Amino acid sequence: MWPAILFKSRATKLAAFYAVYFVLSFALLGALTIFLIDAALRRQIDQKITAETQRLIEIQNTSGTEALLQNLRLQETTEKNLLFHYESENHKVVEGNFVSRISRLGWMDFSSDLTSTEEQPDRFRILTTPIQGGQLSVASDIDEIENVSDTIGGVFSIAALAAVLLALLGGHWLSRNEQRNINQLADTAEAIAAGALNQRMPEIKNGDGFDRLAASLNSMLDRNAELLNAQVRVTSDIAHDIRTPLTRLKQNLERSGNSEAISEADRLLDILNSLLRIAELEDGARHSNFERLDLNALATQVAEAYASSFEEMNREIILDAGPPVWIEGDKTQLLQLIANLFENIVAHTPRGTKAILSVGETCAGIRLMMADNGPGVSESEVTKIFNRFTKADQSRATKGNGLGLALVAAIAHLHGASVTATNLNSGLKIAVHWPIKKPGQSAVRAQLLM
Amino acid sequence: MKILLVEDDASISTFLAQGLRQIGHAVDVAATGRDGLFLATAPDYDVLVIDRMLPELDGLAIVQTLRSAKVQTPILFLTALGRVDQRVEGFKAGGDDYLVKPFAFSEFLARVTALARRPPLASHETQLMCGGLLLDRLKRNVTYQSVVIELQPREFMLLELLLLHKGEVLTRTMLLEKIWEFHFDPLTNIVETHISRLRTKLGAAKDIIQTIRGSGYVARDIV
Repeated sequence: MWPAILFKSRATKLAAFYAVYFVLSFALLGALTIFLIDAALRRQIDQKITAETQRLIEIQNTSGTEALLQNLRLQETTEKNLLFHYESENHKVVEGNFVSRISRLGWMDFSSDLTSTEEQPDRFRILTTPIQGGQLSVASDIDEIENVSDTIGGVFSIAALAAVLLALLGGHWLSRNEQRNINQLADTAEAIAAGALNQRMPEIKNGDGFDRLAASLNSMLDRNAELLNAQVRVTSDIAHDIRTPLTRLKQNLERSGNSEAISEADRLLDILNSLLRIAELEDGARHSNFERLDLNALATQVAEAYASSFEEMNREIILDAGPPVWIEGDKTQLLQLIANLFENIVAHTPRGTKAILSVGETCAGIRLMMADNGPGVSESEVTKIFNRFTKADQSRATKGNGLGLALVAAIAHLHGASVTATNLNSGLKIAVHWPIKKPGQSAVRAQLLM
Repeated sequence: MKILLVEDDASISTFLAQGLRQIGHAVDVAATGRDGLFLATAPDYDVLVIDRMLPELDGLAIVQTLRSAKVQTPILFLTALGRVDQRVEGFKAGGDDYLVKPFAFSEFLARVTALARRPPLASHETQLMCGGLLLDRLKRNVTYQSVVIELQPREFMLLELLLLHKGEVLTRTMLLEKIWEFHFDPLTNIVETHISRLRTKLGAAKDIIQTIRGSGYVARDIV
């Protein structure tokens, strides 16, 4: 899994950048070194040739041409690094251990395979000087310079390779470290999102950027938790403070036998209960009744419950359920979620409407979907459909308290699922989607850590 | 039937006690948790009705204490706390049923009656009879005058439950909870539709299931 992450990581990009930077610097440094050393060696060789030429001219000047030739013969056997060639003006007297086919005066580079014993031709640096009665060439092998350049080039290449490897390893190490920090933050954030509201970001107290981030996130989470607790207290107070007097009210109404007033009170209660239920679900941290459930079995159970009622209301339900699809969840809540999808069809579609309830598991996750061929809702309403008390325009007169789909969304969110509503060509599609959970990141684990 | 009512809201307990007395039950009322626990240890109650939130001693604590003291009297929790996990908490503590405020008296009465009758009609009987109708719980079939009546699984469960509680009113809410596991109130008339289909299938025996208007359904031997 890590290569995918590795390429996404900022540190990896940095490592790659440094690797390229290292290679370029090494190449530049290598070229410069080779150039300088090459120049120095050439200068050295030139000096040597010049000095030898000077010495030989000196010999000729003081002791005559014969002495020069003797000296040349002597030098040929003793001096390994230098080669000589003397030629008289009339080309009659020739002395030396290499044949110069070139009579140009001055400096030149020359390669010859005549003297070479290897595959590569030998390379020479030659100085030809006019002297009394002819010209003198002194040459030196400059293969050595090439060898030195090659060696230095090789050394730099290896060093560059090593640098690249080090840069990549360092980058990998950095990115692993950074990725670990990011993963820890992300895992914690996901766990909190899934309902483990008491979890906090790990703080290492080493004062780096991640640590500061973790500390500020934690103080933010603490503040949120305070607000949330206050809200939960209010919700539960409302529940108690309103339900008890409502019980008295309902009893009084029952005594009076005013059935219209009773049904109005029941409607009020229905709204109150739904609102409280949504508030309680949104408070989020309740996974205490979670168990392993087959979503398909639940869908089938609800579809069977509604089948005959649908038939009598001239609506049709098609159930598209396959093999078991396992999720962690609260059975009562999930049954209500699915039932509310049915209630939504009953409340907002005309007779003759067909609906398909399907459950499917793909590599992208698990999806529970209710699609109908009713009138759908307007584009502007479709995004607001999960808000409390939203009823699409044309259905304002229809029944339902406007909280059914808000409850669907609240239950879905508590289960780590998302909800979407889409207008079809004809009708509406509501989908509940559970993303694939990464191992060890389930809401259940988060709950255990609380 | 003798019932103990532990409820701190005087108006609610008076109303419930009056209603129960009117139909001939004996009712004792306690207004605090401590009094409630003291009275509840008496062996002659058929049902204990206990509010979750009480002064001095919490309803949950009373029930836990009673159960650990081997008091087996059926217990109905009353509560303003309607959350599912709170319901589960109540059952774990040893409560037998759970009624969320506010509720209709008929719902309350049906649940109290069902609890009181629980032991004699425990699920040990394999054959349930009612007005010539025979439901065999092992063979999973229903016969009326030796003719087999084909039922869907949920219809069978519905009939089975009504026959297990023969003579007792089962409310719409109770049926939704027991048959479909719906702990919420759907707008759609699921129960009504299923009862009506079941009656149609029972044919000549359809009158053993009677509708009690505003309350629920009851299975009775046809007279």
